[in-house]
Amino acid sequence: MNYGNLSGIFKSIKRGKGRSLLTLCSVMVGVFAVVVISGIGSVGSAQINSTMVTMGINSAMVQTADKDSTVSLTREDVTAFGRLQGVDKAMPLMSAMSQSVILEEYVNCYAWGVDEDAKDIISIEPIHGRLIDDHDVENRSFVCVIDEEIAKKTYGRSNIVGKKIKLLLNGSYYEFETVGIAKSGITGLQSMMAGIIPDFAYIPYTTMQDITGKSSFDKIALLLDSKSADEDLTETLTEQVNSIKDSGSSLVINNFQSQKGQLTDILSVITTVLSLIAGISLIVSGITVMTTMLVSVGERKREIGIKKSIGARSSDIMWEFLSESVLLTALGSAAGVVLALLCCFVGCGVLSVPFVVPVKAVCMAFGISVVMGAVFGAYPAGKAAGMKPIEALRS
Amino acid sequence: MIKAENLTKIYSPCEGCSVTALDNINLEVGDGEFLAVVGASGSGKTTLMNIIGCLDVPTEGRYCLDGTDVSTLSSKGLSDVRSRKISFVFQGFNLIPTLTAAENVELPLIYRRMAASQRKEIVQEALEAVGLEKRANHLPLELSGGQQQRVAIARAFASDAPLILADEPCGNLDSKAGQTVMEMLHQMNRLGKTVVLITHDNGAARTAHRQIRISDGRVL
Repeated sequence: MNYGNLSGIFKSIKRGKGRSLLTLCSVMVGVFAVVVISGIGSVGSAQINSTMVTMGINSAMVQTADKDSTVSLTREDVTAFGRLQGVDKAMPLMSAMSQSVILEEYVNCYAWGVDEDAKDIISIEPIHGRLIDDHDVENRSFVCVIDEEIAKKTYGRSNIVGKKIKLLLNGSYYEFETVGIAKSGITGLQSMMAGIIPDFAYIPYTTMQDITGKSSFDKIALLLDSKSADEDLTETLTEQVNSIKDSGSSLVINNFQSQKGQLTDILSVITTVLSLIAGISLIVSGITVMTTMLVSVGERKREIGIKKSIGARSSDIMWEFLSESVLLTALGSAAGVVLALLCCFVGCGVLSVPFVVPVKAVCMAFGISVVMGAVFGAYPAGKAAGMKPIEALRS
Repeated sequence: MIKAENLTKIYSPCEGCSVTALDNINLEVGDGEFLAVVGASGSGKTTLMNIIGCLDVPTEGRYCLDGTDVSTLSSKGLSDVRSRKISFVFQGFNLIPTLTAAENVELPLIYRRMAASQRKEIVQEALEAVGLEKRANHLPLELSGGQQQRVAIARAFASDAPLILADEPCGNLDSKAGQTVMEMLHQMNRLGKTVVLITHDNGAARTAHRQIRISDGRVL
């Protein structure tokens, strides 16, 4: 290859400014479409992951498959389940529909009986005060942690630590002292039930046992080992807990692994299909490149003749025209990538989601369009290279 | 330098019709000779120049350039012959319009795969030789006809080929610019280059060492 005439190649592109710009735009649009769609896919996928992690992707709940089951979950089961391979921690869980009363304001909520491991296992975070601790559990205290939303609905502010709250449990109202405010909508439990009951109140599970008169637990929450947490582990654990309880298949384990997999798969399919459709625009822009180059070859016949008369080989002419088409597509691709990333960045900023660069898609779109420049530029370049010098000079 | 035997060129512009542009031409040009090929328009002198310049091939006959039978050469071989042994000075100048004077002069050296630093030096010398060093960065359209032809001569000068083929080099120039161009061709001849001048101008032809006349594709 003869690299000496690169400035001439740039000048040839500059000569047909308008045409080159339009060709460049067509490549840019194609690459822009592919990168933006892939970008949306990448951001969506990352968003699903982060949401799932926040919701407690590593948490799972053991419960009976139907309400009428005679299988009861006990303290021994919590210990046994906590020792299973792939399980980091286990925590008893009680639950009941409830109603909170603060300042004579009634707010429907769901009450959870938890222990000191709630922070780790069901991902609740205190924004004011503290969570339920081991003393509360041991002393069967009438203390509670409520969702921020409950505080806002009643007091109009989030920090109401120390205020008294009445919770309707087992048909009666019991007075609790608010020791902490939890952030709403981030725990696995809350998210699972979000459409039905948006606000939660957490009390010591022992206190709830006292109120309801139950000695067993409604559920057992598990914190799975984050490295091995997947759908297979969930299946294995289901078999193991049923084996421990000798309960056939009465106990089931629910978590977000399968939902995460399904969501990611669906998003991946949608992204691939849309990317392929966008890829068609790349082919269209390739045809545009070919048309532009053919017109350029036609216009520059005499120039080709002059070059051949002063010693240019056919390969030199081929290289010049191929370089021109590859340069056009490379410039168009680069512009498309920059524009697409900019749009994705701004879009992510507006939607307040983390910006993810779809590196693979960017490389592929750029690479494919440059290769396309070479492929679609090959015919016009070959046509130019094959011209007889005398015929080209006569034109 | 040039030995042509029984060169015949027949064009077939349409099916069943043919035009004989060159008819059995024999020609020998020695090294360092200045030959003028004179003839009226349509006599076949440009066709002869195209064959001598390896831009076209004869229908019949044999053409040897510097002892090499060019009919045996491949397309790449012909390109190399054009690059190293032949320089053209055309009536229409034939400069690349998007390149500056210096870039036009540099182009044959690029195709000869010469190093950039060496090229710059030669281009500078060539432009100085034709008195256009101050117009090095001008585009052809920014130059007069005479200046454009001088750039073409500088291009021939830079490529340092032993054979210069000038096809009506003064055809598009006024008499003063034409004289300058002719003087430059003679200067290159004095430097040892073989010059073949194609012209219909008897005055220009008379300055050559030798003249041949062509009419209807035959040497008279």
